[in-house]
Amino acid sequence: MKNKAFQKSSIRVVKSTMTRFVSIALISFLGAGVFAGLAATSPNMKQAGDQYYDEQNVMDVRMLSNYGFSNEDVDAIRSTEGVSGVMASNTVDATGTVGDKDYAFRINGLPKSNDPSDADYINQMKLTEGRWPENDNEAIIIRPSIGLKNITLGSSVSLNKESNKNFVDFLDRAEYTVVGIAESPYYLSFMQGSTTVGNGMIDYVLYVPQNNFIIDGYTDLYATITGAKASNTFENAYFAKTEATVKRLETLADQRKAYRYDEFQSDLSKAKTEYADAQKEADDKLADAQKQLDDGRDTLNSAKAEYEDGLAEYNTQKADAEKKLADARKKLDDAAAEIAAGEKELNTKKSDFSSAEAELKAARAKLDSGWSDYNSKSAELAKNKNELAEKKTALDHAQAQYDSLSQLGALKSARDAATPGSPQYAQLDAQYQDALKSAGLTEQQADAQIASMPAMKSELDNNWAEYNTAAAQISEGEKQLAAAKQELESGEKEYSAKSAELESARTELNKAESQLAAGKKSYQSGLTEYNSQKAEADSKLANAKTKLENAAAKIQNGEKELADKQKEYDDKKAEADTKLADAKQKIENAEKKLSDMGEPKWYVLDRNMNESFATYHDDTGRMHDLATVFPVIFFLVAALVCLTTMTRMVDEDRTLIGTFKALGYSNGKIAGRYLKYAASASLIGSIAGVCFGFWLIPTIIWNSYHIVFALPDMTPAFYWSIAFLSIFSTVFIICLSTGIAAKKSLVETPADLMRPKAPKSGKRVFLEYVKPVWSRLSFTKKVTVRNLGLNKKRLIMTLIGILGCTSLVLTAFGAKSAVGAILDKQFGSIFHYDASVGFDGEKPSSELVSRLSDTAYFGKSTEVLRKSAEASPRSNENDNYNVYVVSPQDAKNFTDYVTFADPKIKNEFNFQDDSVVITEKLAMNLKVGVGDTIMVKYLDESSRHAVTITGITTNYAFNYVYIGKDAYEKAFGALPEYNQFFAITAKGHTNDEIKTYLSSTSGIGAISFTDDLMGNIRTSIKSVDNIIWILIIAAGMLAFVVLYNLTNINIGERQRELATLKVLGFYDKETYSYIFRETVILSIIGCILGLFGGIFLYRAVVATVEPDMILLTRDLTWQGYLGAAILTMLFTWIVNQCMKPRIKNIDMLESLKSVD
Amino acid sequence: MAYVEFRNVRKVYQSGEVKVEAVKGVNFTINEGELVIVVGPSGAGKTTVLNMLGGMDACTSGDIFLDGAEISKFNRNQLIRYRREDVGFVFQFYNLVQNLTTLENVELASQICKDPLDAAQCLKDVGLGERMQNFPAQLSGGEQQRVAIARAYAKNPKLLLCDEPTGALDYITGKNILKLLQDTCRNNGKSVVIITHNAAFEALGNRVIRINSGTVADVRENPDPMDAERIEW
Ligand SMILES: Nc1ncnc2c1ncn2[C@@H]1O[C@H](COP(=O)(O)OP(=O)(O)O)[C@@H](O)[C@H]1O
Ligand SMILES: [Mg+2]
Repeated sequence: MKNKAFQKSSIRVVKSTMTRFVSIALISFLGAGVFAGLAATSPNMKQAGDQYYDEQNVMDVRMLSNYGFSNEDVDAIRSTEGVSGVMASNTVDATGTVGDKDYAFRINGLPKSNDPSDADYINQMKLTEGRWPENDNEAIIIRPSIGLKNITLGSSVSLNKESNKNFVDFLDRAEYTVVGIAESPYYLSFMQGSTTVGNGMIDYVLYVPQNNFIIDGYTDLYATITGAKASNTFENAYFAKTEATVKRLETLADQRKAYRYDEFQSDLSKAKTEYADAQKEADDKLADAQKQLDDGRDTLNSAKAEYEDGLAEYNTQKADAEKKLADARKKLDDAAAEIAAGEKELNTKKSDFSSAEAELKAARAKLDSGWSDYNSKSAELAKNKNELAEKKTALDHAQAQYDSLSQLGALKSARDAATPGSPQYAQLDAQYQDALKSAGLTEQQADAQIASMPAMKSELDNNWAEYNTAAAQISEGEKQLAAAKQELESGEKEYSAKSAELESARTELNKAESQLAAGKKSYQSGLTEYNSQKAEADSKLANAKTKLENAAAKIQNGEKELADKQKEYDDKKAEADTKLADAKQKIENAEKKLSDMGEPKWYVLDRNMNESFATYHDDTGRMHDLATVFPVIFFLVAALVCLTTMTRMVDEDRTLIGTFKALGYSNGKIAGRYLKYAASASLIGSIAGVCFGFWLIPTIIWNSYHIVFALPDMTPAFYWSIAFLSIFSTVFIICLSTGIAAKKSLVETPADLMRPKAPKSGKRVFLEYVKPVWSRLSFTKKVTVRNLGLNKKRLIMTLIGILGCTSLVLTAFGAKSAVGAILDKQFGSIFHYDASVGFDGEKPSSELVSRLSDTAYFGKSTEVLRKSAEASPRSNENDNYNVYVVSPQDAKNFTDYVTFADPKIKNEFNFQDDSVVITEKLAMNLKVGVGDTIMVKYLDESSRHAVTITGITTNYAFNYVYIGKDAYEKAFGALPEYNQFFAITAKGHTNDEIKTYLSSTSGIGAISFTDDLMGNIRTSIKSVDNIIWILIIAAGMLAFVVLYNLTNINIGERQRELATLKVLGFYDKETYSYIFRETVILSIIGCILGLFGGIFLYRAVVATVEPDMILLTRDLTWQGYLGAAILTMLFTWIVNQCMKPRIKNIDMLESLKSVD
Repeated sequence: MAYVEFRNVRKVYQSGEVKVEAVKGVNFTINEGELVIVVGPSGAGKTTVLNMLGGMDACTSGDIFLDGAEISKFNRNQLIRYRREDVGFVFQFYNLVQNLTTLENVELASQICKDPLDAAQCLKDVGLGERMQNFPAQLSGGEQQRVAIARAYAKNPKLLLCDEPTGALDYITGKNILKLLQDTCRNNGKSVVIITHNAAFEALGNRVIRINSGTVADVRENPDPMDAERIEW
């Protein structure tokens, strides 16, 4: 029975209660949208990924062999049942340089065909820029999702042959020019895989023409499986479908690998025999040459001996002749000397003689003059004697006169002395007078004479002296004369003797003169003889010498010839040796390879083993998990929103319900009214939400994944099952809550219903008993407090809604800061080294060591081993995780480069030579702790090594196993082979400068800076930003719906109160706060609860979404809490702003007109 | 000049196409301290007049004065302040805040005024000194109306406006309320306007304004109003 009036009333109800309808529609929109969007993301990603895989004909199976694959292998695989396409290729990893940057490259051989319809063209690339290579030196580079940095079309890539010991066996060209940029479905993820070169991560993938590979056979085989494309590769169905073929390939692998091994070994033994033959031949030939050479050498040697003998003879002869000649010469010389001496003597004698002769003559003349002198002197003397005698006579006379006078004088003086007149005087005078008479003199004469007496005396003395002198002179002269006479007489004698002597000398001289003449003559004849003898000897010797010289020349020629022959032989030998050595080396290598690789192994790897696939698959799984976490909140809130809304509606309709009931409508019919109302609102909302969610959420998430996966654009898809499920659950929840709300009123009797519901009585609340607080509250605040206690449903709805909102925002902020903090924490407080500097060979060159110790560029550096490896628990080999094994040479100081800290108690610990420290996330993944043993296997080796953990350290990005030297030796049986330095750079130089400084060093490997690594991670984690926006938008909508609903109901319910307040003259602001205060208080409480709840939500979300190699911190920052609180309050504020007009526009008159 | 003056006041309600002229050019004056009874049949426009006087509704044309202020020219905020300071309202359906005690309901009004009367005293004045801590739901209708009167009165307004204050009350209670209002006017000199459709109340007022279909039919001054206890209907 259709009841028009009833229907009409229903429609009118919708119109008149639009806000309520919108509330329910909105929360349904939100619940269904979030659920559908999140739920659709995972299948949508799977679908888009699968589509891309199908379009690009991605391999279903990749096969690897440690022995490589032959063309027969390829054929065998091709003919295996279920295999639809096979592509063989080669792969080798090497570091290389582009511009001034080092990267780790994976170099693949270009597929034979690039025709997309070719079934054998597997892992098809999408050329996005440039062209396919046309020359062998051209290459395609795969553009990773995070971009190519400094590589562009035309960039040249210079691969480092030393970085990979196999490189030269694989590739004969190391320089390539990038001519094309492509996307490859095989390398989707920005993490393109691990490698043993460089820093352990592949930076770029190159495809180069297959011609450059000089290796026999292939390293990689890719195969597709018939019918596999029909299933979604991210679903189990796909693996179920491919399983059989994979099994067949594994069986084939077992056969082929044995065959290949045999082949390999027979090849090896054949090569060995060939080598042996070749060696024998070479040896024979060489022996022949050697013999000839030896013969020649012998002949030469005898010739040499002969020459030696001749030379000796010549020398003795020569010495003999020379000696004789010398003797003769000496004699001659002696004679000549003698002659010369004789001549000299003769001449002396001659001159002596002539001087003696002259002397004699002079002596004669002297004697003659002496005689004449004597004679004259004798005559003079005689004359002088006469004169002297005369003088004596005169003198004697004068003397006598003087004497008489002196007597007179004496008498006179005596008389003068006596007193005149005295007797005496008279006597004396008488005497005196007597004397005078005798002398005949008067007294006057006598006085005069006596007075002249002194003069007379002196004159007399003078004359006497003169006389004496003259007398002495004369006697002297007489003596002299006598002596002269004697002398003259002896001179006469001497003269006659000398004269005789001279005569005999003259005779002697004449004799000597004749003797000398004879000597001269004999010398002359001796000289002539000597000269002739000498000439003879000279000519003889010259002859001998010529002969010798000829012999020597011959020997020289012989020697030269021999040397030439020797060189020829040597060359030949060297040539043969290198050839043989090469061959031998090859054989040895092959043998070593065989022994190293041991058992031949074929690996049949499905897509799960592809890093990109695995990561993508994991991510779709995470999205799926995420889709189960969040919608719960939204559904819960939807139910509460609906419950409160409908309760209010039913309450408002009390009278109407009563009337209908009174009119005889059944409970079901009346309830149907409300169910229809709610259902239609929620249907409209959820359909819109599903459509919107299907579009928005996968798109945003996809866009964020674009940063980490190079994928084509995704078309949002519509999933009927998800749509149905989400619409159904939304509508169901809404109807259920509506039913609950309606039931309460429906059970009442019509009479009760007709009576206005007793207004909810005010109730005292607990706070009122706290007088100091209560009395301070204004009345509107008191009302708020009492209201809060009044409606539990609404309270819970609002609290849960706000709680949800806050925890979503907190989770978003937490995720964002956790992801951001990875960098800060990892590179700020865990890794302290700024660069790793690889080196080739066992030891770094001393040049490198000295440059690294240049304090202008480096603070310090240390040698370490770092290699990519897989770690697995002891029990399960397949549960493995990519790790880096790091073993420092200097354990004690290693904490300068990496900080080790216990994740739980946060305290730092030291690293020792026997330490084995693993990172926290690895420990979580492997579910191990200190004391447990894990297995470590290098990527390029097959043996697993057990290490026992001594410590676990905090770490956020990537997984590390740090092993001390001693522990390493214990586990690996050898000391670590250090391959790089961790260096702390000094300030003041840019990374480029440091790189330039190091790059010319010999034996330098890849140099990488943690800054660059940080940049990569920073890019990859930008993907989180979009997800964070989803969370924040969802949180905002949640808050909006809940608060909108709450406020709406509050306004509706309190319209009368509000009108009263207005009539009483409350200003708008005061009126608003009457309503909003409640909202704000609930928001604050909800927010505080949400800050706690967010911790759990955040942890749950992190545990779901965290990738294997990243550890996101479980701690939230105060900024996160603050941000979440602020944002929640901001949402509240916005909702309040939106509700203001409704309050403002309340019509006082209308509201007060009637009882409600 | 009179205390209150309506000059040619008109009020037209427009809902959609339909125009309803509820008040059609009303003129009257009221003196200070008077008890005014506005009487007229239901739908005559009494409430509309009172609302315009109380600043709850704007007139379409004409001027309204109170104590020299031209209310009809007030903007929204001025009107709010006017209601807050100068007018006290008593409604037919009390309109108490359910979540506040009687005392609090009175204080709710008094706290926002400049010069309020003591709330507790007001309640005592209306005879509810014992019920101050009760919530409205715990009071009878008459008691609630007393609270409403106390609330309006506590603001110490210039004008007390009562729209059918006894409409929801029984005879005795109604009488008591009328008495209370009359006492308020008499004892405190407040101007009180009571709207009623009950012509029996006319005897109470100093002035009786009769309104009929939107116009003032008759204004009558009553020099000797009857005591409220004595009127009967
Ligand atoms: N908001 C409104 N919209 C339209 N008409 C109204 C409105 N309020 C009152 N009226 C009309 O105005 C007239 C007067 O109403 P009212 O003043 O409430 O009368 P009274 O109070 O005398 O019973 C009535 O005819 C009524 O229908
Ligand atoms: Mg009325």
